[in-house]
Parts: sequence; structure tokens; C-alpha cells
Amino acid sequence: MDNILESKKICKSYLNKKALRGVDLNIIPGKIVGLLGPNGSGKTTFLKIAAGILHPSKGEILIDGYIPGVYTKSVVSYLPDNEYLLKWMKVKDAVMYFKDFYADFDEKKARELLLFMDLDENSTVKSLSKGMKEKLKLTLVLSRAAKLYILDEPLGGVDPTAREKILNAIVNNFRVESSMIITTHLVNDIERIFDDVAFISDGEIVLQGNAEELRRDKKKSIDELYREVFQ
Amino acid sequence: MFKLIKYELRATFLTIVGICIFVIIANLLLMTRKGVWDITIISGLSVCLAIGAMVVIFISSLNIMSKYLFGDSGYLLFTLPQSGKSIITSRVLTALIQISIVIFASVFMCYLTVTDKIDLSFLKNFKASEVSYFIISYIWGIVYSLTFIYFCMVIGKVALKGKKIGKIGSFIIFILLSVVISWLSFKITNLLPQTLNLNDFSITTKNALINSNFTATGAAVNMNIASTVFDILTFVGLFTTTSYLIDKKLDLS
Repeated sequence: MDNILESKKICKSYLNKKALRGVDLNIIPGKIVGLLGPNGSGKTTFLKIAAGILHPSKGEILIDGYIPGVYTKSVVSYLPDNEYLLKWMKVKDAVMYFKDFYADFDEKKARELLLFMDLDENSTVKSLSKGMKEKLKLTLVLSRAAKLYILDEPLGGVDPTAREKILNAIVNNFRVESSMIITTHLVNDIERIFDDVAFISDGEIVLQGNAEELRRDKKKSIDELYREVFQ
Repeated sequence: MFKLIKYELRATFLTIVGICIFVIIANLLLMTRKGVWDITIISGLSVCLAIGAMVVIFISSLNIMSKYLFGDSGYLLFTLPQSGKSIITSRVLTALIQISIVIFASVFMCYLTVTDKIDLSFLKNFKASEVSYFIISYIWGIVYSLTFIYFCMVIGKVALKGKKIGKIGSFIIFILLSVVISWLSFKITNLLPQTLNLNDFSITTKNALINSNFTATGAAVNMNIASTVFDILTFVGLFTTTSYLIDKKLDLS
């Protein structure tokens, strides 16, 4: 099966810091992959490279067989961990914006998700709480029929009830022909949805494999394994 | 690209309307001073208002690009399946539309403030070639300036990464590049002084001591050929490089 994401020895250096030191990671269709690591381990840097908004210093990354560019942006649905929606927008404007720019955007699905997330279409983006903004971003991202979903800290700053709702939305809207890569600190909350996991430390993948096999082999949950690896 | 322009215009709709309303109200207030203040003071203030409005909308256009490059909103724009060429063209065209709306409102209100009687018959005196020349020069001036500044902003961001240092760096690059391009243009104009008269398309050789590729004397509109070619090539280079940098080198922090 062809990899939807294929990274070969990806390195990213800044002036005095190496953010990534040769990351090799392949993702095949139908998998939800957890990219786990502490702050500053390189998770977000890797996701940004895959999303096409950061360029590797060395190595090669292919999304659906192409280097990141206009095509890959049309098949990647990226949820960044910042507030990137424009402040003047209402929720319905944000939906229309995505509909206008992404051919794979499903407006009907977006409306269903807005309802599920208890979001009012007429609310302005700037009036939404952090949790509500997170739900809106996720609604927009999951309403696309993308080949690869990249979710950077989708549970960041949201309360436990909202977390459950967001996780349900992710699971219910995941399509078997696509793949998803998720980073999070809240491993315990989210580990049940991972098919595969990769632990990243100091810009390197230190452990990766099938989540179920790792649990069985190590006789530990992914959360316990995370704590062991990064202690 | 046109979808980008649509959303850019919506984003700045209130700014444009706000500036236009301010200019209209301020000019209406100036009109109430007619007969009380000297007409030269009134017309001077009205012209200042127009210039101020143009400066504000121009800076606002640059500020939007700065937010895309250095702020979170860049994550929305630069993850769209749009090429760098499309992004930069839409930014330039949006700014051109915004600036034109404000200029039209400002100049029209300025005219109403200064004149006693609306009489547009003077427009008949202009030849079609002069009007075309004026429109092309106007569009060229704005498009070239914006492309040049956007290039400096993008190269500052690409080369210097950090938010503060990137912005300062962009400004320094802008100053240095302005000096270099002006100097080259001046040298080229002196080296190759042939000018094209746009009225009769005759070519003459003038000693061009003034550093300008366009001069309008009386009814004649002259264009220095070499300098114009240089400007066009510079524009193409700046535009292509900016598009390339957005596609291949731009890293969002």
C-alpha cells in the first residue's frame, strides 16, 4: 500500500538549534497516528513541514507522492495550534471560506458538525471562547474529504467535556481511505483512537509502532509508556 | 485568486468605509468654513486630508501582508492550495482596489470642497492618449511600489525568520534596494537617453539629468526607453522572486 506520508531523514535547523534530526516516518492510508513528545521535541515542526508551511533543511517529505506545495495543500487538512481564523469572520463566513478554497469541503457535513459542536453560525470568531474556537477549527478541518488530516494539539486548552466531544467528532468523521496524524500532551485522553504511535524526543523518533502491539509487548498503556520514555 | 481578492476586500471593508466616511465628513466640515477661512487654507487642508487618507490605506495594505507573514493569519493563507504567484497577485490587486476607492473619494471630495460650481467640462480637454497614459502610470506606480515592498517584506521574513528582526530587516532591505535601483535607473537613463514620445511615437535623444523615465512637458509625454525596460525587468524579477520565495522558502514561525 502506498504511503500517504513518507518522510526520509527530515532535518530542520535554525540558527543555533536543531529542531529535527533525521525523522523517518511513514503513514499508510486508514491509520490514525499519534506523534507524541514533550514540549520542544519537534512535533509541531514536523507537522508544519508536512503541511507545507515550513521547509526542511535536509531530507525529503512526500505527501501522496508529492513534495509539499499547491497539490499537497489541496489534499492535506491541517489544524494548527494557534488562532488562525480571521477576526472579522462569523462562523458561517469561515465555513464559506473553506468551501470556496477547498474542492473537497463538504458544506452539509460542516453544518452537521456545527450542530454537534453547539456552535452558532452567526457568532463572530472573536467572540468565541478558546474551546469553542477549537471546536470550530476542528469542524472546518474534519468537513474536508482530505487524504491526510494533520491535527496539532486538537485538545489544547479545552475542558474535559469538550475533549470528549472533540474526540467523538474525530472518530466519527474519520474515513478509512484517509490518514490522520495527531500530536498531543494529553495521551491518556486520546490514546484509545491511535492505531500507531511515534515517540519523538529532541528531534528524533525514539520509538514507534502499532499502538496495540506496543501495549501488548510492553504490558503498558501508551500513556504509561510515554511517561517511561520521557521521564 | 479572485476568491482571495473577495475575502481580502471583505476583511478591509470597514477600514475602507471608515476612511471614506472620515474624508467625506472632514471635507463637509471644511465646506462650512467657506467664506470664513481663506480658500487656500481650505484647499490646503482638503489636499492634506486626501494625502493622509492615501497614506493610511497604503500602510493598511502593507500591514495586512505583514500580519500574514508574521502573524497567525498566515496559517490560513499559506495552507490554502494557492501558488505564491496567485497570493502575491491577489494582494497587489486588492491593495490597488482599496487605494483607488480611497483616492477617488478623497479627490472627489477635495474637488467639491474647492470648487464653487461642479463643472467637469475640463475633462474634454484631455486627449485619449493622455488619459490612457495617466491611468497606466497610476496603476503601474501602485503595482510596482507594492510588489517592491512585498518583496522586501518576504525576503526579510525568509532571511531573518524572527518577527522583530524580520520587520526591521525588511525595512533595511527596502532602503538599500531603493537606493540601488534608483542609482541603476539614473545611470541607465544617462547612458541611454533615447526617449519615446507617446503622442507621435517618435524617438528622440534627450540629455536626461532628471532621474525619471517618464516626463510630461506640455502636450508631449516622453518615456525613457532604457529606463522603462529596466523598470519592467525589475518588476518581473521582484514578482517572480517573491512568488518563488513564498512557494519554496517561506517558513511560518
